[in-house]
Amino acid sequence: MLTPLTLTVAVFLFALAVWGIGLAVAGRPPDRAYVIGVLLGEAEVLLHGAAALIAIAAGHRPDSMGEYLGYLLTSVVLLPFVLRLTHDGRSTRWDSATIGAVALAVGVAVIRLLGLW
Amino acid sequence: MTGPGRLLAVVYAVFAIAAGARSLFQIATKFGDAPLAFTLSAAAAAIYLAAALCFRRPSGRSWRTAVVLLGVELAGVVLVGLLSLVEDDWFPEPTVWSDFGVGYGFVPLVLPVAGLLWLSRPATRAQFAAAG
Repeated sequence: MLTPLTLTVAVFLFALAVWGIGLAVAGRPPDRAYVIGVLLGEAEVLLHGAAALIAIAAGHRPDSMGEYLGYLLTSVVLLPFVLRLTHDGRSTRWDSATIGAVALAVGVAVIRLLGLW
Repeated sequence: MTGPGRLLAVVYAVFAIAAGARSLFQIATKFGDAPLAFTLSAAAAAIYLAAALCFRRPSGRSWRTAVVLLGVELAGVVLVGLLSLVEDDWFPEPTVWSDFGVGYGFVPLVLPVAGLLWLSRPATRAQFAAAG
């Protein structure tokens, strides 16, 4: 039940990573559209996290509960952290790269969640 | 720190979390399975965290500390990478540096090289020195 959602979220995050790195290569700081995209990505991981917790509360047991919960927590905290860090009015192309790199890391965490579920 | 330093600080912080959480979990649950591998992962996590802090708080001193940390990190990933290929029974469980960081897309090998190149630029050194 959760797997299609997990996969969708991972694909979205990898798209955000490519977008951010693309902006960096083009020499552009994160623009409004990209920030909105990242906020959407955060909404997705929060929704996914809530769905996973509900399934766990209902009795589902991932392969390694401690590891699963660790990756789940990682998947929701990183994007707000990097958005806050890069949002200081001195943004450069490197901030696009930074957000893209974090989106990639979150995507990898979500793929780990997929494997452990 | 702005520019590339910010990217490095964030990537180092993410690796400190990834390697640190994983090694803490492994040390807490199954330390006896691979004590060397788990201890190494914890040491790697400590280096990533210390380097991230150096990038976040630039000063003449943190520049020198960062150069030493990244030198140790590069030596570590190359040494552990070689050992894990030659003496694979020393590492029954993977570490962040085994096989040159293949489990992390070779980012652990690229990071110290990119970091040292960036630190060695005169502009970067000046930026650190000017900050304190």
